[in-house]
Amino acid sequence: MTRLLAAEINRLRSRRFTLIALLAVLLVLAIFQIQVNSDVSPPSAAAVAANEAQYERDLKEWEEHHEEWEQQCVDSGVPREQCEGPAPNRQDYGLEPVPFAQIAQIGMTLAICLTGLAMFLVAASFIGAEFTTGAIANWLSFLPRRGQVYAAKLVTVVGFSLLVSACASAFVLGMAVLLTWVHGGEVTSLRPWLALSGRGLSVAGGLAVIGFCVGLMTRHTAAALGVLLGYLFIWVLRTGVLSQLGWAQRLTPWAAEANLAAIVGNGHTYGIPVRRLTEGGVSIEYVERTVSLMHGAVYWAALLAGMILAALLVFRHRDVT
Amino acid sequence: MTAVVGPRRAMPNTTTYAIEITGLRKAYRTRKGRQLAVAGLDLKVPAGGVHGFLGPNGSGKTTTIRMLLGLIRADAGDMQVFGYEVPQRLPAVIDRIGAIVEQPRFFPTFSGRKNLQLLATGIGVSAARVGQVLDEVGLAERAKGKYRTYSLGMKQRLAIAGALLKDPDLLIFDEPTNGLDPAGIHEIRATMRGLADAGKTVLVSSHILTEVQQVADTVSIIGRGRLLAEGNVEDILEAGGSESARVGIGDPTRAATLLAEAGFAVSSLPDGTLKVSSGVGTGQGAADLDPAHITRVLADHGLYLFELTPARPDLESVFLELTADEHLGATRGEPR
Repeated sequence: MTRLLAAEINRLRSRRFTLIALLAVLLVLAIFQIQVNSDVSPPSAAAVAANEAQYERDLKEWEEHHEEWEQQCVDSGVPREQCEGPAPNRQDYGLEPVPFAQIAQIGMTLAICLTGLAMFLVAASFIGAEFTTGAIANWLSFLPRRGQVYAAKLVTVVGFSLLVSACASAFVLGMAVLLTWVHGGEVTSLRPWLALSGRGLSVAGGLAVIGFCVGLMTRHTAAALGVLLGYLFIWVLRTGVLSQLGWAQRLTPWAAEANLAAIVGNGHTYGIPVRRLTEGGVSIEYVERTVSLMHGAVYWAALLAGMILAALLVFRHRDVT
Repeated sequence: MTAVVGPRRAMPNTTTYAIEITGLRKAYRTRKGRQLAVAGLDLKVPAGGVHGFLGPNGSGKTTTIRMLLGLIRADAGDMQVFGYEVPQRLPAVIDRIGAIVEQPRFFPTFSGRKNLQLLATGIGVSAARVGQVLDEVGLAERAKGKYRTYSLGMKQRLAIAGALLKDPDLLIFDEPTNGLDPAGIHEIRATMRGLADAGKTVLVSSHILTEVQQVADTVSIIGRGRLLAEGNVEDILEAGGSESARVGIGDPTRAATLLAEAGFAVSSLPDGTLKVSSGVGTGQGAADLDPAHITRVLADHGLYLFELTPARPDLESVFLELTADEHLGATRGEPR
């Protein structure tokens, strides 16, 4: 098994696709640091003055006209509660540097999503290429213990994903700390971000497993990518076109992406639309529900176990030609 | 028809087989239903020497080899390699097997050396051995080139190098000379012969008979997934027919009558010449295939031949005769 692992690790790190995926992740995260640097920098006196003036203008306009705007909205048939527009928020006008917590939250979420997607593709390509080139037949004619071969490949991609995710999180968090400190901002507790980083590892590992299993069962990287895009299409359909249908939103606790969001965000809040008859017509209210972290973790554990088992059965029993 | 096995070269005793297959069956599911690829095949490959595994395209050779290597599952039958049941105990014996199945398949973006290094790491062979086998197949100079840039011959040589990595006792070559130029074919043939002379067992599947006849000690001929003949090459040739002579003459009808009366077996060939062989004669009894005798019989009756060419039966003619149904089936578009 050790020899098999050594061979698989050697192959994974020698693959061009692996290198491209790593460079893409690094590039996006590096570019993101330019935005971070800008966000944590205290704005210049001129910028503060300009933004302050803009804020005052917007506030004045809102105070003078918001009742009129709301009435126009109601007159057009929209329920009153949906026509209420909030007053401009001073914090949105860039008058102060973005706090560390907000920067860390955005950066870590980006790193987790990006590495998760990259690891899905790396894993799918790692196994898919073996089938498309036919090299898997050659490999199995030397190493016929399919269970061990499968385990070695899976462990390799999962281990690699954990490593990449850890490095990406460390890079983003480290840069957020560094840039905040350099610009004189306050670095608050790191504990929540370390916890998020830990959850990010499980996301990257989980998506790598899914990519590997789908790549193995479809025997092609492009087919695995197609499955991913197909799922994204369903997600867009459910949360976009069907967002006002109660039954579509009640499926949320069983949707993979919602449970993934629950893991990343320590719980995921969503709304179920409920239609009510009001004096102004039919109004839609959203009843808030939450997918808990525990629900997400159990869901994904079951999903991964099922995928790993299904892919193993396929790999052990399918003819290789 | 099954010829008796009679070893020509250093052969093991009759109970020692590198491969023993009994009643092997495999059907593929297709849109048109189940297509039988191997239909109760029995095969015995003696340990040591080169064994030709012959059959037309689609006769089940590659499927059989894949089943031996555990790449595809048999529907029925028993297979043993060096006495180990396969695929159940294949891991126990895989280190003694080196195989190339159909086209060599390696990772196209890696170099030849890298591909072999990965295999060597996986099977626990030293890195030094990679260099040795690359040298052995004459690929050391191009070892750093990407596999996808290799010619077909180089790919075949790399596959042979891969098969040699483990220094196996049994080498399985599936159509190893496909796409090779004459020099490459000669090289592969010499490699196979050299391995057999070094005590290895070489199973070579092919549909190019002249190649196999030059190098094989024993052969099995299959058609439509069944064994049609097996044994020593000489025995197969003898069983396939005796020596004959091709006779060209102005009056073939009269000549045929005269030669038949003289005890020869005579048949007409499509180009108007006669195929004459020793046979069971009438009147004077069977005549030996003596060119002088043929000439004399015809000349005594005023017939003078313009061609007399001795012809030995070769594996190709035996093969074509045995697999005639296959070829007819193929031309009629029948499923195999």
